[in-house]
Amino acid sequence: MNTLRTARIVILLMSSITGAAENACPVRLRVHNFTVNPSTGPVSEMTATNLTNVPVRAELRAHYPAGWVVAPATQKLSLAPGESTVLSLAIEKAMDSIENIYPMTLDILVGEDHYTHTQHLVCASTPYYRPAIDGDLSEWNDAIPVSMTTRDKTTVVRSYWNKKQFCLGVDVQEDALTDHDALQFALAPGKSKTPTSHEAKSTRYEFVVTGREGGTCYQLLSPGDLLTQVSDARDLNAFPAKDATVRVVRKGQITHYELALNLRAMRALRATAGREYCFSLLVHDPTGTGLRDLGSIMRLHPAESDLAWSNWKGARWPLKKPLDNKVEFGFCSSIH
Amino acid sequence: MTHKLVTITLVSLLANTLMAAGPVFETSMAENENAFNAGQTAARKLRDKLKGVTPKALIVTECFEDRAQKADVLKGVASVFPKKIIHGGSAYGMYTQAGVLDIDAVSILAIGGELGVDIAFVDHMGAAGLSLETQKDQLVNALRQGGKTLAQQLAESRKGMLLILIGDAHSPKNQFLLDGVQTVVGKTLPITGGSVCKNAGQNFVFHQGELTQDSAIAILLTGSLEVSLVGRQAKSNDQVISTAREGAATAMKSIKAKPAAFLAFDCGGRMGKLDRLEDELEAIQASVGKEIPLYGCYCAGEFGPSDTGNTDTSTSTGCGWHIMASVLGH
Repeated sequence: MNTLRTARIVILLMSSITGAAENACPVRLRVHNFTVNPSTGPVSEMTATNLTNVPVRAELRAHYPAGWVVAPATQKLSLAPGESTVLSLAIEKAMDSIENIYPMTLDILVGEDHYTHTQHLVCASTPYYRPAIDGDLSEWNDAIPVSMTTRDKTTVVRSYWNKKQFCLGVDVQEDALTDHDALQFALAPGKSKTPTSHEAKSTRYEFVVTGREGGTCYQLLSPGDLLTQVSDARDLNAFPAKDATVRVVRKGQITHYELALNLRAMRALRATAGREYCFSLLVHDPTGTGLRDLGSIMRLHPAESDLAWSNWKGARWPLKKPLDNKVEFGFCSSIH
Repeated sequence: MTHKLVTITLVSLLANTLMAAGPVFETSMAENENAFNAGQTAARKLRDKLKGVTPKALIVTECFEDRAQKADVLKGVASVFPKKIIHGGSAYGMYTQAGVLDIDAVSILAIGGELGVDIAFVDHMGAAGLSLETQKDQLVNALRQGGKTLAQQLAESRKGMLLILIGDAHSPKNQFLLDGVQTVVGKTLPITGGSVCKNAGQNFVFHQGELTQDSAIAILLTGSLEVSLVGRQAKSNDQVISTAREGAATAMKSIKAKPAAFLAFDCGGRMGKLDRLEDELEAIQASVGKEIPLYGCYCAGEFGPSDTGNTDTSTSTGCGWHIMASVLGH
């Protein structure tokens, strides 16, 4: 017990040095997104990591939105020093939120000490649909929007899939669309990991979309590509994406990006209803908010390597590295 | 010459009778980018396997992209069999003893022999486009009435051994369709089946060779048939495989008669959890063997005994994430 107390003091000291505002819980928790609509009764997963150098035993109690039924109500946890594990809860009854925000709280009991972890979950799911890529976003009302706010500017990300296409509809609130603005996004098979060695091979498909001339899409990486090139400031013009349809339209303060990619050229994703995949997205707005990172609302931890996102000529990167490119998403059936 | 003709006819009738002794179930499957050819190929394979037995009903399952292709599948099947016996629905994928398919494919289950087959159909249920979150009362009423209207057409429901229900009402609203059916047939009749694929533009129920939406079909089997029906839920790769194996094994053990067919109305969500698509079929085959006619399809909701711990497993319910495994014996 004294050892655990010492470990917690160390964490507290480190937290005060780094400026971290959270309670010094010895277990770091991240609840994963729902990858299908909660009303369908999915499994809710969370990753628990022991931050100390001593074994930790804890009891967790999860609180989901009112009226939900979740089993089991409590879970016991036993972690070796530095160990991570994934816990699962069955969602037996739930209602879908039109705003796509699901606040939840975890009560964590470690010995006599009580901690609280709060998180706003989203349903990170891509419904089946075939939109026309024509700059008219009215067809995107049946997608499941994921919103983030960066310095008072909103970005809304919507996605669809069908047997031939992966489609994105992204609304970027910004003062102006400039030549430096772009979307950058990555897709990878579910539960992929970003390698930490420059000698490793890519596990992702990675794209950049600029708003110039109505919109152009470039593909920087495919699975199996060497990651040595990730740091290079490559000229986008050398990497046009094949079979991509793009429309970028400016309406008032919103830049609408609408695109469709050839899903059959991304066979590693094995797209089918119910299958998970990894996705994340950056918005480059260097003259406005700076870099916007979808991972920032997903409680991701700082990327463990510099290999999470490809550099490209003209990109302006902040001092703080973006988060990892692998947020859990899922392909699903149409929502109605 | 007349004597020879009479003899041939009598021999043929006798052969047909002998071959049709007891219920007859057969399956076939085909894949082809050309939807008509896929339907026709599957139908021809099935006709060959039936060896002269005339089916009383076909359950067709397909996973083509759009309406035109789905219509072509049915035309392909109808080029071999009469339209009036062609029923079924769209799915996310399907499996038979021959394997698993989930792109540009069709499978067919033929039901025939010494078995009563009664078909009921309802369309224009009034449930299409209604949301469970914002229009619950209207949706529930529409589906319950639809189910009731469907079941009221089944004159022989009291003699039924198994009801196969296929509806355009995905989980969790499939329960309301079943509620309506059970207000007429009661809760003791074994009911299995599934909800058709709910992808936009792909939610079709087939009735007499035609595509329909906002509809449901019920196929009631009567006669000397023994049915063992087991439901198992799973939401991870390992559990999908283990529950398929155990559920199929339990259904096989629970039947005293000689097994004549294995049916599985399975969940599209379970299919999405599989790391390797063939694993669930192989788990089923480990329990039922590779000889028995085997028909499985991945649906958007299932009908059968729920496995969620707090329900009566002898009563069929509408749910999700399940494999509803039936062994039919004679």
